[in-house]
Amino acid sequence: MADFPTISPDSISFELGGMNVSEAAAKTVGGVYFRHSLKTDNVTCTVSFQNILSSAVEEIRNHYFARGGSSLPFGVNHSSFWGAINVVPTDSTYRYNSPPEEEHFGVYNNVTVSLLVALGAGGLASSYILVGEPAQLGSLVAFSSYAFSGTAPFILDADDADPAVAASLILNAGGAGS
Amino acid sequence: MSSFITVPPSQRVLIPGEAVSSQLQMLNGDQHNVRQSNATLNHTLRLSYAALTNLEAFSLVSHYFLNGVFYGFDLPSEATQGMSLTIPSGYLWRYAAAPECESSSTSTSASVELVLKPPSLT
Repeated sequence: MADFPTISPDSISFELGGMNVSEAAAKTVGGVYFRHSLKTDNVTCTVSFQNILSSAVEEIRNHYFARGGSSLPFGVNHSSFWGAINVVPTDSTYRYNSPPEEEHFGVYNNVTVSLLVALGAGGLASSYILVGEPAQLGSLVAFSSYAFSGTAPFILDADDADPAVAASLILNAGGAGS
Repeated sequence: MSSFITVPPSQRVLIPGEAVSSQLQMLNGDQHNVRQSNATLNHTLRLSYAALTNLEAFSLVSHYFLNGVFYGFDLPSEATQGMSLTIPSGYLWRYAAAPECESSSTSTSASVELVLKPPSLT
């Protein structure tokens, strides 16, 4: 889990999200609220970097791509990122909420990044990566080919057929056993 | 087919593309994200030109008329110089909308919004 580059932002704005609550309408007492867990979610922060070099812009962009856009979680260097602001626990995990927006003016550039924050070691910390590996073929097996000869059409009876000797034709697919 | 103008832009905005993924909000508060592909879609590049000559403005407009929002094209290195942007192989830029131009008696300022598309969509 590669951390966010250690670049100190110029400003941070954040939305504190809320408890995981839903409301059910009730005629007699108004809305009834259900709290589904002890988590607080949808905490987001928008971070602005002003007048940073192109190399720092590239560092943020590469980190964004390395995290698969908004797919994979990551940490931040708490002291360089948040400075003296004490809003979220230091072990919080983050994910990109949207692509970073870069403004290029020549030598110095501005970048705005929106992040989703999981307070503490929460739901964003785990990631499951399903990898579709190349299929492995089984060992080679000799086979016989059967060609139809005679007069078409050829009919394969699958229900009423009653052959004197039971016949079977097995097609092995990959490493499938007979 | 004409080429995109080789004038360096005076200002540039890049919004990198988003990997193909879906966000899932769980009832217990977990927020999961399922990534479906390695492709990134919709890189957006906004180029602003402060003072184009009439010839450069004509070149920009005619390039748009030839390509519209339909045909993809490559950008010259001047458009992305200094930003170390790596374009995935086979991807092409396309106009997201018509360029906006504002002309005075001596020069034209213009802004162009482009979107990067995978090979199959151009």
